[in-house]
Amino acid sequence: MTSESGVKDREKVLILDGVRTPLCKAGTDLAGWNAVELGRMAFRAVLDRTGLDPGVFDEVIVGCVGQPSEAQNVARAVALAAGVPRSVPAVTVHRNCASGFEAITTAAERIRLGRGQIYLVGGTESMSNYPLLYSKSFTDWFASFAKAKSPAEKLAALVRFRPGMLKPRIGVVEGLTDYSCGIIMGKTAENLAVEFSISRREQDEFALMSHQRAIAARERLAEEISPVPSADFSKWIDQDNGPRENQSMEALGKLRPYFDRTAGTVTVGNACPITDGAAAMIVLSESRCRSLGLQAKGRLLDWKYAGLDPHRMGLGPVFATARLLEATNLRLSDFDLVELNEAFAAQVIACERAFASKEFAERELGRSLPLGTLDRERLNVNGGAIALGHPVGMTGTRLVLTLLEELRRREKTLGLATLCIGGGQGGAVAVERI
Amino acid sequence: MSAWQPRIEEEIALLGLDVPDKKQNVLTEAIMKELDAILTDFEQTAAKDVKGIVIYSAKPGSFIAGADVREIDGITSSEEGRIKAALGQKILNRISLLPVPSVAAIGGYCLGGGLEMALACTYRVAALDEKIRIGLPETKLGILPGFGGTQRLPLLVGMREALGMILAGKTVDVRKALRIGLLDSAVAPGLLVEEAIRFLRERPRPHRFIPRGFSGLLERAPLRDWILFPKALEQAEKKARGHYPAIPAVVKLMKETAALRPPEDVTGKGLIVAPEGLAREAKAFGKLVVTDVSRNLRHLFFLTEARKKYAPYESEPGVVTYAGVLGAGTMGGGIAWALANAGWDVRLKDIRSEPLLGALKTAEEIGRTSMKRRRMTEAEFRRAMGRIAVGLDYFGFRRAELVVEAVVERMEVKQAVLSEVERRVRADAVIATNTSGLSIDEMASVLVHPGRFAGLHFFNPVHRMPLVEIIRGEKTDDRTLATLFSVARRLGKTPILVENRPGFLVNRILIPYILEAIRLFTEGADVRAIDRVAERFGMPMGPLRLADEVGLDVGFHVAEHLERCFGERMALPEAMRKVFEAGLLGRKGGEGFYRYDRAGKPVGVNPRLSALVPRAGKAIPETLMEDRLFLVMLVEAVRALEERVVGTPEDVDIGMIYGTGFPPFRGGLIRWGVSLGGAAVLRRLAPLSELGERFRPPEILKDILG
Repeated sequence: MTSESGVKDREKVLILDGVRTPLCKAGTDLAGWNAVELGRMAFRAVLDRTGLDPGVFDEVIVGCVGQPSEAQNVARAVALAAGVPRSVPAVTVHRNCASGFEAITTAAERIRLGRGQIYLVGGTESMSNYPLLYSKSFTDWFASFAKAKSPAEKLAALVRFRPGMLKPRIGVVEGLTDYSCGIIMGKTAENLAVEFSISRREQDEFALMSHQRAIAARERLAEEISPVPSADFSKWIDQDNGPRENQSMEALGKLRPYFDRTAGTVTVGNACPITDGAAAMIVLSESRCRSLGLQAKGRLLDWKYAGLDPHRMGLGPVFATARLLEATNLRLSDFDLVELNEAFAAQVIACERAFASKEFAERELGRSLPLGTLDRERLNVNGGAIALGHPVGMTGTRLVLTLLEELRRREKTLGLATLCIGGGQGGAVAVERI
Repeated sequence: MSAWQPRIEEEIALLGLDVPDKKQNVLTEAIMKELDAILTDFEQTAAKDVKGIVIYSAKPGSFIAGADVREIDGITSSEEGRIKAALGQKILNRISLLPVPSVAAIGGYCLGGGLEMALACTYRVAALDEKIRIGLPETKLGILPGFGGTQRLPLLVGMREALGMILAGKTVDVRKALRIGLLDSAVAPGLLVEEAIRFLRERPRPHRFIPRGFSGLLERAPLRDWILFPKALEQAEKKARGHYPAIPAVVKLMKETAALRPPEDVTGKGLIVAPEGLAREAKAFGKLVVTDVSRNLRHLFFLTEARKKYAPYESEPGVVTYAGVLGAGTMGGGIAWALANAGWDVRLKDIRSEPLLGALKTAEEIGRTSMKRRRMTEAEFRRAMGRIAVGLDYFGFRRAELVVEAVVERMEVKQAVLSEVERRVRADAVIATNTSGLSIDEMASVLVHPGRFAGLHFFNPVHRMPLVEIIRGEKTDDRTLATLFSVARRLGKTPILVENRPGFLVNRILIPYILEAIRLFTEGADVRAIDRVAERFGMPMGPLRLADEVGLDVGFHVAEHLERCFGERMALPEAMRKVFEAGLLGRKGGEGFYRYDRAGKPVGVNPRLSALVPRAGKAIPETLMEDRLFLVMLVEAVRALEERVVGTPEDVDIGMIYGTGFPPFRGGLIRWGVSLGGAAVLRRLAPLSELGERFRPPEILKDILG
């Protein structure tokens, strides 16, 4: 296959294996663990599953969006906690919702550049532990109070205090709000619902399907999960807690629009929940894989990122996939399975329509033909983030992991993982099962 | 060859100590006399030309680890002890009386006589090294500091702190020593001597403890005598329980000498104390040094020292970085924590998730307690907890160089688990079982490579009990033994090598003692009276309380196994069976021989017992109880030696002290027998032999006990 951007003698990049923690909605079973500890459990699990000596790695690369303030460069903290020797360096990468992709593709790029041979990568996110922040006015006041020396100065500072200063800034809300356009992610989904005329019913139906598929996939998903204890050791967590067995159109229909309360269609039921979780993966060169005598699960064919208008960031997968197809000379129909992250049902449906639209292709992608149809038999066959959840920094790694596992089970070959990225980007990764 | 290397450089006299052929400097009479001569020489010739003297160790990273315990052991009379102490005091006093200031530059262990020398100086500076320990551990050897330590230490750190340090024999690290005023300064190791010299040139006012504030009131008469001393004694006796004469002796001495003032017409630069205080200290030292308690504690000290080098194998240990633990019960969980806390990555496997969660909870509790006692920081705790990964699968076992099996005590289960795990681990992984008594060889029979297999028997609770029995099977190879010895030592445990006989060493001796207690109870003795006899003997808790603590179910199974193996000698008393069958579990179940409250504290004898167990109403004198409880152990220990379960009587002594809390001041079980003498033991056994085979003396008893 002439798939690697035209250059054939480049080192092939393989994925040895991966594993993840269960995904739990923020504030529930995993809430007691911070991002370091979640990462530790996933990274230790992949080491234990593969039996690899943690000293073999050239570097540890971890994606994380909300870095814990107590563990800057969370990758280093995760690596040391997981038992990786001190001599192995570690770097945290951040491409917002694609940080878990970024960890994989950064490793792949280093391998292709000959900078290293084997990388321990993944993503970790504890959205439960996103902080409440003090406002700028309070921070300034606090600094002036701390600087005041004499009792008189202190008193003067005290007088300047206003209770309103204590109103917190909510980390998770700020994190999900785009800086350049100033709107929250849910609003970008509303934009797409309007642009592509996507009804509330269509969105809810998609959400229901996500839950039903995830419930049906319990046993399959268990294969990629390493069970973990809750932080107070009261509970053994061996499955994702997002999927609802009794999810129904009726229940979904009762929810009020969350982001646009007057005329919106996006609800918490047809959007992904904020979630905790971590995933780990081993990315290595074909030659290193051979010299270690290991059997890899898949090959990373190519990957692309693309930028677009932040107001409609949900279309990121279309733009990124277009570039990826171009680079690999593949067609959308060549892929046996597709994992397209379900940030919002409206956003996934918008992507489906854009993929199939000749007009969209001509206007936005500079192509005469549409990219092709994303039929739902191949799309997110084990459910997606609407049911499972979306720990932003780890999802990219999970998509690739889930995709490879399902290719293995179905004995299929080609897979596409793609996601939209807050801030107006898309990422797409093509893998091949070995 | 002389130990002291004096030289003068730029008006500073440098007194370096390097005791030949020793890793650490220790003080002997010869070395003290050599110092005496150097000081004489110095006073006569150089004193007026120098600004001061520095005492340091010429061995890198060290100072003086104390007096030579062998030499102390050679003292035969209290008068000889007094004279030796007085001589040391006199020589150290010369340092404090020098017309120039002196400074101790402490680069390593500074203990006992070493600290007393440092105390005599004007200043003390130390290297910033976490390994350094400073203190007066003499009471741990049943004596007290005899070179002025009891007199000088309070002047620097206050009476309360000094009493605490001396009574507990506790050592402190450099930072603590700095905080309490024991040190004047601490610097990087490479700057130590330079810093010492700076003090001599700048001559800051020497530190003295000044009582301040409310707590300062306790440091002065009369509150000192009314509250401080009685409280300190009471607290120390809580642990010592009257068995350690050094404890009251220290309090008495320090109380009586607290008000003494140093003579006023002396113009020395060091830390000068009243001659009368020193004289009393020397006398108290002399009295203690010849007590049996001190002799026995010294015996234990030598045994423990010798153990550090004890290596009954000819192989290098395998390197262990990762350990698998099978079975997350009390023992498996405790072992996992101990391994993780020592720095290994651990994978703990069980067939159910609840025990895994329970083990993690237990580990967390142990860790948090250590954190509260400041034995570990929060980050260290987090790190240790994070090293324990748990699972229902064998993931990770491929990484393990060591596997410890701690599943239920049933041969067929253990065999199944062991043969399964052998297929999951690397060819060079060592596999150990934590069985408390099942046959190692029977387990090894299911392994493809039995050479890699041995017993590694921890005691409960794992993090507190210092003994590990390493059981050699018929096929166990030397590399396996070497690896297990090195693992046990890195865990801070004392390993003993035991042959594969039922009950190994400790349980085989301990079970007859517990059974004997139950027999005494059946015959009519009171639960509390039985335990009191044992506690008075010096055991940390009585046999019936111990049975509750271990768990009556666990004890029953071990005892049943031993009865099967040894027959009549270890016959289970009917009462034991009844108690077990009634479902009494001991402390963990809330009732056993005692009842327990929700926090697990005993709240009196279990009233249900009398209904469960029919008892005769015999009155049994306490001396007879003591004989029966302890001679039954002694006889069994001799029998174990006869069967070569362990190599030497010292193995028994180490095993019983570290494995059961047998009173250290008796020096061990066999040592206790030796101190009674073979003839006396036989005489006391004679009337007991009608009670059963268990009191029948083995042939070699007289050879061993003399």
